[in-house]
Amino acid sequence: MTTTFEITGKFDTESDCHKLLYNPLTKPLKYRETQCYKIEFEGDAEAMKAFVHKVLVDSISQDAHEGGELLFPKAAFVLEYGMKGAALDLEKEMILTYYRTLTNPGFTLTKLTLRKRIYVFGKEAEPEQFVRDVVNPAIHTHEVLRAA
Amino acid sequence: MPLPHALILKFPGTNCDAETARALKVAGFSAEVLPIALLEPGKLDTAQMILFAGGFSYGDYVMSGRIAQLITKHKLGDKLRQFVDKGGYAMGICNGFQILTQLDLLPRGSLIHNESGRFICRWAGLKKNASSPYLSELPDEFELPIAHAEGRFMGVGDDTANYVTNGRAALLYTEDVNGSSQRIAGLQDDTGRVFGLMPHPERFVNKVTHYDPDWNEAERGWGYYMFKSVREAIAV
Amino acid sequence: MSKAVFRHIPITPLSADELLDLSKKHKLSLSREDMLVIQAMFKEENREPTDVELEVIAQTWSEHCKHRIFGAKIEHTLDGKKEVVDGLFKTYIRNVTHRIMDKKPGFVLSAFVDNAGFVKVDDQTAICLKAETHNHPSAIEPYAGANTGLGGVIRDILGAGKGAKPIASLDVFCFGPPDTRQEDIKAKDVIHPLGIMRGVVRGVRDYGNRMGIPTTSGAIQFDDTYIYNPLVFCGTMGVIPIKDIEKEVKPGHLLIAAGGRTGKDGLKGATFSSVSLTTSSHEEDQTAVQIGNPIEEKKVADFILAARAQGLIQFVTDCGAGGFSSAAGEMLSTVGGEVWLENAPLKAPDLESWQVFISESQERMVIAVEESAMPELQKLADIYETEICKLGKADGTGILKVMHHGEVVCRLDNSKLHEAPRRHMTATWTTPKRGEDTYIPFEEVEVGNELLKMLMADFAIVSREPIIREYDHEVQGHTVLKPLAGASGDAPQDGSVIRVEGTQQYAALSVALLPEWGKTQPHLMGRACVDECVRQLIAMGANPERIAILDNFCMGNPDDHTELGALVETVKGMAITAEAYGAPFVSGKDSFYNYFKTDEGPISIPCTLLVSGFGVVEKKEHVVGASIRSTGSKLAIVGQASSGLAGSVFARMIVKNARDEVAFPNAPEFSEAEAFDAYERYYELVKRGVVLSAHDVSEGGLAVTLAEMGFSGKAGLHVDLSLVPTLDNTPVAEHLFGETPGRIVFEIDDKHAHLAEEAGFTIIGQTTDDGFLTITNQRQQLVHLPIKQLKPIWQTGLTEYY
Repeated sequence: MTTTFEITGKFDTESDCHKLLYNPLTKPLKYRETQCYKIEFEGDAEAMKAFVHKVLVDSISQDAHEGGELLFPKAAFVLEYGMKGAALDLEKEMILTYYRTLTNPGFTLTKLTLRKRIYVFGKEAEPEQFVRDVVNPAIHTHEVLRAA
Repeated sequence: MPLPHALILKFPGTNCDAETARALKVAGFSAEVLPIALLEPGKLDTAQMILFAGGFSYGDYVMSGRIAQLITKHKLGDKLRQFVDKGGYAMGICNGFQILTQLDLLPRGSLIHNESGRFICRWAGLKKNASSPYLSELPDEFELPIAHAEGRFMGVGDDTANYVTNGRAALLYTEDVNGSSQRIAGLQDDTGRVFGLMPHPERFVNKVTHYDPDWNEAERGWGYYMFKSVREAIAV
Repeated sequence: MSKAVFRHIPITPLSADELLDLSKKHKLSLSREDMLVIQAMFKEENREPTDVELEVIAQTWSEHCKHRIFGAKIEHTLDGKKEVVDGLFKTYIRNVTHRIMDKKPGFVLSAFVDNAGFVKVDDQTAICLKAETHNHPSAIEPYAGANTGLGGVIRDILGAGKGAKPIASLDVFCFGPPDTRQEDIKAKDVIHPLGIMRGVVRGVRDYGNRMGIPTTSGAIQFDDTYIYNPLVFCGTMGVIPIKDIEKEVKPGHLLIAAGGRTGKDGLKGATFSSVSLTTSSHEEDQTAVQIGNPIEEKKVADFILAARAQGLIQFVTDCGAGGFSSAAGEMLSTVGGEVWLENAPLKAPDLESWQVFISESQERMVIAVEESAMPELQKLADIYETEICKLGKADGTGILKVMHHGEVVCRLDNSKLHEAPRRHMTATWTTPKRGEDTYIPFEEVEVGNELLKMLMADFAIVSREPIIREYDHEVQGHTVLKPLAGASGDAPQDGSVIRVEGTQQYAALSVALLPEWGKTQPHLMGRACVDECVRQLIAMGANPERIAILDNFCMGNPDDHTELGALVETVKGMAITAEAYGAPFVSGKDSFYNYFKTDEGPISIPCTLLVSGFGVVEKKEHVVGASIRSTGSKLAIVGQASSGLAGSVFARMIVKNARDEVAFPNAPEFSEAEAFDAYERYYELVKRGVVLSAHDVSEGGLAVTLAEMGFSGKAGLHVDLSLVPTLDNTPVAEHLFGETPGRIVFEIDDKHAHLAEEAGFTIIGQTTDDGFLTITNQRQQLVHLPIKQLKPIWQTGLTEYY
């Protein structure tokens, strides 16, 4: 079975895209960043969910959204990216290391993929500059998503 | 009388253990750095204070202090809670504060990424907001260095305002440094024996580590007085 | 895989051209001459090499590992006159150091033989320093390149002696300007300088902070020539008990690998950095991109320091370029021994024999131990949660034998392995002609005010504060002089001072690089870099007799005669000043082929020298910051001004903004003998405790120095240029903004001012209570500005970008 949890920060606000890019934009744009955990597993789905909430989510400052649909339909586009297969993902390694210490997790984690989503807001927002400046093909893979 | 014993827990990635031990010794503790691999519940019985030191436990991956909290809980179960209930002291500095908040030993809240999204290494002005065994020998206002990426304390609803009123928020920044709600820099539990703070008292034990060569407000650095305060509290 | 995977590669029947093709096909980076020597070696043995053996030789002989250009015989032509340089390293670095060591016995405890050079602090304790570059990896993936760069130099320190404790790091960068327009970048797949800067800083931050090593010193240079080839220097200082410096591998010792696992991620790094970047690098060289794991390194560091403290380590070194092959090769180079590749823990099981032996996977160390120490070592490894394995054993045969699942995959005679053929090279340099400098009038005070404001906002001068604050520079609790300090905690300093644990003394750390002079005045650059580094250390209170330095070179194409000529001149200049100051080189490193083939032709960096240095500050009372402490003090100057603005930040700024033709062909002059004599007199004042603050005069000249000293907010400054000693009839522009080496401005209490004068220094002004920076020439005002107005210009210059 496969499921995705997208984590948003309760105290996050939209930020200026200037922070992400290397050349000034002609028009100011805003963005929000979220973290996705794509989980492939076998066994008890409730146990898996409990693991996610215990290990990956901070209930005070974060919300977890299950399913993987884009959360902010108003975004002009979404840049989803993450470490490519051969590149070391330190957070993923740490999660797996912790998972392996559990004597009886109640489910089997078969694959874990971490992706970041950058929701870009504003008319005339085009993904090219974001892809060029945010993603490095030497370590990342990416997709540009748009709400249906 | 034997010196009060402080146990400093060292997770993979903890990196302020040596200077914290040094500071505790100067303030009159006997201090022991305990790698987490050697931690077992019985160890707590040897100590009057458990100290969670600064650093990046398990790299702080996922979020600061999370894996350390899970491992600690796994190793100690309720033993830490019992240790505090029996009169033990628990202190968390920086990453240690982050771990302590996750271990439910402090009032509800979470230390999240600084509002700037950056790591911040600087000195910060602090003011006492309540009495605390950790602050008794310090003036109302003083300063300590901070160095963290996740030091913005946030609660649920009116939590943080209440902490300021009821004194759980023992220590406040004098100005906004990281976006922390109510400028909270340090928290205590209702007994006062559990105390966590983002600033680093262990880095300001001697005058010579102040940034201003003419600093002369006390005989020693403010951090010394923080450890000395709790040393006195334990000795009573 | 449960068996060895290797093959024999027939080379003995090949022609020279075919050998070169083979070298290219296997990415060995070996020249035709090298290949012929290798061929002869195997002809003599009457066999063909295995792929493992070829890879080992390529790694051992690669530029990165043996620094063959610094060993080459160079025919050098300076202004038409021929000379032969019989090895740059031997002639100008090692011999200089040995002569200094003879004059100062007991100070340098080891130089050039270990991972880092050691100097003595007291009878029990030594400190060491090492700096490395990680340029090409940082160009391709800035974050990962910088974090593995810092991780690597930290391991150098952990592998120095029997394991030194890292106590401070430095970072020095050369980038393209952060405001470069995207359309001005003349090649695709080049990361914008701002992306390089952000990535590199975060890479250093995330590794250094997690390791718990304060990053206390640094510098950044911005220049168009670094757009395609950014430079990233990382350095680390360590401390060790003197008794643990000497190390030796003896027959019977076990070799233990500790730390991270071995994988395919770390292949082809060492030879890769000897090949120039091209536009296709970004796609081809993905295997070179490694990401560091600081917690893995923290665990192995804790393990090594604990094992050393218990006396369990006989020898330790890091797995740097060349991986196990260089570490085991170094450890078994004279004694000989066996390596058992099957024992190395792997990230994935599908590695061929050569890959296990050569892989440069991060966070690994190799240690030689007595067999009887194994149980204790295993206990420590469990405590600090790091993995160890028995990698091999020294046996006294002098032969390096590598086994994989019982098969011999490599068998090399160490004496032959380390004899790379010597290179012969050609260099040439022509000293630029002196000429007429453009005259800049300063009739109105507004001119001086405006020029100074522009200068304070120049990328070469602005505060690195946004970057410095990202680094934990206080962890370990020993940072006494911080990179930003003074009464306001945010004013610039000449470097940093760290308390040396276990002693009552302190170590000052500073860096100097002046690449603008590398373009036109390389000899002066070499001299001035050594001077500035040493001068900063002395300004901060280091004993001038107890300073050691490192040289790190980066240059473009060494096969270009003029580029190599600039390097030769730099090295010659550097040697003169180092010898005059008695400042030995204790370690160094070089990086070549920093050029980039764009669609419009190759672009090389200027010859760039980083001199980093460390000096002993004997008492806490000797630590001197660069921020004014009081009103009513006197200001004195060490050294004298001279004419010539070539290469100065001011000249660059004027040229960039000029509408008419302007030229500054003349460089300033200084004398090492006079300068060092003055430094010693200055140090006498430091020892008497009368120097309140001191700041070097460097980029931006005297006016910038004075402004920066005022940023503590404690007082205004008033200086009269007519009082400033000069070599010649120095014009006002040079007085204010010239960068003549050898100068320090210091603050001294009014009641002690006579001591400065008696020591031969001139009082040039005083601190005031009006909060202004005022520079006059007798009665004429040249600069008159509130310091409060200057400071934000300087302080926020980078905030828009970082």
